[in-house]
Amino acid sequence: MKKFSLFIIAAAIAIGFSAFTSPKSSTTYYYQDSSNQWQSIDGSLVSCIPGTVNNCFETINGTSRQIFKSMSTSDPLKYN
Amino acid sequence: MTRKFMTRYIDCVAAAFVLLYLYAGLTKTIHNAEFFHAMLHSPSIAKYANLLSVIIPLSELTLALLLFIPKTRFIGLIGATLLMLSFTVYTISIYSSSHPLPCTCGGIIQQLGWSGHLILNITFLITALLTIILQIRFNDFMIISRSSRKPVEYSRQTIQ
Repeated sequence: MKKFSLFIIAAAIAIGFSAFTSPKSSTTYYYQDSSNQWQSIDGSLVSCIPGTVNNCFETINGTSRQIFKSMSTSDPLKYN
Repeated sequence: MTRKFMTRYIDCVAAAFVLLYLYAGLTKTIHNAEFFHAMLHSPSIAKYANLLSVIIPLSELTLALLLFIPKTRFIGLIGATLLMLSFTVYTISIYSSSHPLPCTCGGIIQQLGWSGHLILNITFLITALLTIILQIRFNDFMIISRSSRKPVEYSRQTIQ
């Protein structure tokens, strides 16, 4: 039992820490609505799959919107 | 270097890996949806996000278990080193890319940022490699009985 003590302590710390770790705050991304106004979107909701298209488009409220990393059209979120 | 010190050192490194992988594995399992979405942001791994969101936490928890059991500790250490090597290669590729991507790492490790994460990974990788080398050299050590001329102890197991 004594030789396991170090590992039991390590496991207890790991379980304790993981139990009290809240989900990470995701990055905020931006898109323009129909009136070209900037709207923010939670990064965890952005899930466009990479392919041959460079820029990320996400369907928001039934409309495909291009996602930007900041409120600038020169800073699109890119994949591949 | 004494035998007792060597055993203690190997145990300490293995326990540190148990702490790291058990924590990372549990955090990724509990917050699996966030982990999956974070991987979708990364162009190199997004295609395999479905598979990796299951395999990575499972591998980490399995390695923590292998490191916990004395008989499988060495195999666990090799596995932990290989996994850490793959994490380090991925971290270097992200760190050197021009697009800042969110960290897919678990829990408080994400607070470190990419540079801090890279330092942590390299530290663990070097420590693990050093421990494997020491373990191999340590296993080659044999004690011969002066009276019977037979090995009385090999590695950490006493031969009857």
